[in-house]
Amino acid sequence: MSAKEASRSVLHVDLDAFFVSVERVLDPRLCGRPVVVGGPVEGRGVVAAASYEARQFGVHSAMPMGQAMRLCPDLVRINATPGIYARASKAVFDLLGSYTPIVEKVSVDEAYLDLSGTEHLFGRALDAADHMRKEVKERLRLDLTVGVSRNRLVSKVASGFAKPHGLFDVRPGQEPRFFAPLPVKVLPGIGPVTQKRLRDFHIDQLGTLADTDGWFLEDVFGRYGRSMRRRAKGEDETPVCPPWEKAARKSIGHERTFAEDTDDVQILRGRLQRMLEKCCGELREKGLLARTMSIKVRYADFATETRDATLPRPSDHDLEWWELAGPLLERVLKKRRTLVRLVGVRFSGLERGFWQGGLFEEGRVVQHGRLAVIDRMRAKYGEKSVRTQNAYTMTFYANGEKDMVIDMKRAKAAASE
Amino acid sequence: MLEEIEMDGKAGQFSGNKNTFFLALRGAPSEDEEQLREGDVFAITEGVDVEAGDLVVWWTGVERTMALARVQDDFSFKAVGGFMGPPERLSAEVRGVVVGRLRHFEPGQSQEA
Repeated sequence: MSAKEASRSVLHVDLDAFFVSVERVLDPRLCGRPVVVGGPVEGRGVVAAASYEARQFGVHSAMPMGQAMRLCPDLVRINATPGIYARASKAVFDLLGSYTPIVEKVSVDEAYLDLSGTEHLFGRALDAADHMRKEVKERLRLDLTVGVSRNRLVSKVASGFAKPHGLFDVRPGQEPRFFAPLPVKVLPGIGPVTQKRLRDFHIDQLGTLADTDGWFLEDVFGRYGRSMRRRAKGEDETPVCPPWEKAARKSIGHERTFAEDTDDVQILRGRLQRMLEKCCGELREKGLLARTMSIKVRYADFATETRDATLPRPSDHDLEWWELAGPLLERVLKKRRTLVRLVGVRFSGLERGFWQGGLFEEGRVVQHGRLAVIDRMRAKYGEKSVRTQNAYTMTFYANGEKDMVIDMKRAKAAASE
Repeated sequence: MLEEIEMDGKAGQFSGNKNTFFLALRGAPSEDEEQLREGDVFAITEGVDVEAGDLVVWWTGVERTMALARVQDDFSFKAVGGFMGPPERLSAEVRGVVVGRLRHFEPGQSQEA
């Protein structure tokens, strides 16, 4: 394990009986009573969430509502309130985001947080977790269960142990001992089939699985066998992946199939430029920069050409990219004199950041400022409200008027109206 | 004071293993880097090798009381949370190693540190 891995602090946070807890915030009379959120018995509804009081009667989520009612005659059933859970979830995760920017939300009521490096702000992970739970309870009146350890896997299992309203902190270095007595089924990814297969070999506990020879597990389970053995020891190097990193792993792109195939270079250039601007706008909106751009041209006979271009520094600047994309498109089109069916552009090699011009790039910096104004105008008046012709002139389409060339002062005024 | 307790629920899965047990901390501990708090429940594994840096539970020899200590690099014990440390001439008998700590709050209960 690297020094970086050894010093990680990863939290798994889980909102207790989330839907029910939100309903209880809305109606405190529900507190202390067996409550479920879900569809009606008549409509063959199922339980979406059950309070801990209801769970004591054997009621659990995904159970048919009729069965739940039979198990617990005093059960209070509530219809799900649309939208409210997403809002409550956002409020919680916004709050958790104030502890660390590295928050990976895995569901409406569950997330991983990487607190590594935040010790000087909030103390050790245990302190931060305590503080977090207190803040969520006081400000949002919701209960949080937290698992604390050096990695996602152990924290996830630990939070399961702390439910409800608890916190389980696994001491660094004790992960294999923490896991050893546990049944193999607690390990995420081990389902009934794998459990049965392991049981055939008398492997019931994670400690036994961790002590089993890797070659044997590989023989039985393939490559997954060795990974399963590592995980049984509480080893996991999967990073906590916040949304902007997830986005960075992917790409942003658009493509357009023409209603009629065309070989009109102006139409192709115009379409490509519009899509490129759209992509760059999305990059700016998400706080991402792209390193590589690919353009795609598909001909009427479905033959497809793609070309890549890379900038020395990542960028979200329309004009920097267009300076590459325009000539690239022309080179592709020169290769064949065939009608084009589709053009597309895609940005990859995304990373989090904001474009910053060089010391002697005043023009570029001014252009980038204008792009921010254009973004605001498009957000306000729609995607087609502004079309760039070149770096200094824009055409502004407002209220159906077209081809009204405006200056930047008017554009800024329009955007801030 | 450390009091042995039975755990139910998921945490009780530990109890199915004869090498693992739980101790609850009764009484307010003194503040130190272990961040102990009254009510903390420690999951302890016994019968394992002790390593430097481990938090261990040891028999004090006074009736059947136990204390927490951290194992230092030279394998001496450092008392934590206001627990007594072993006298120099007494070799401490380790009961087990702390693998984790559970902190529970009932809904509505103060969560003040």
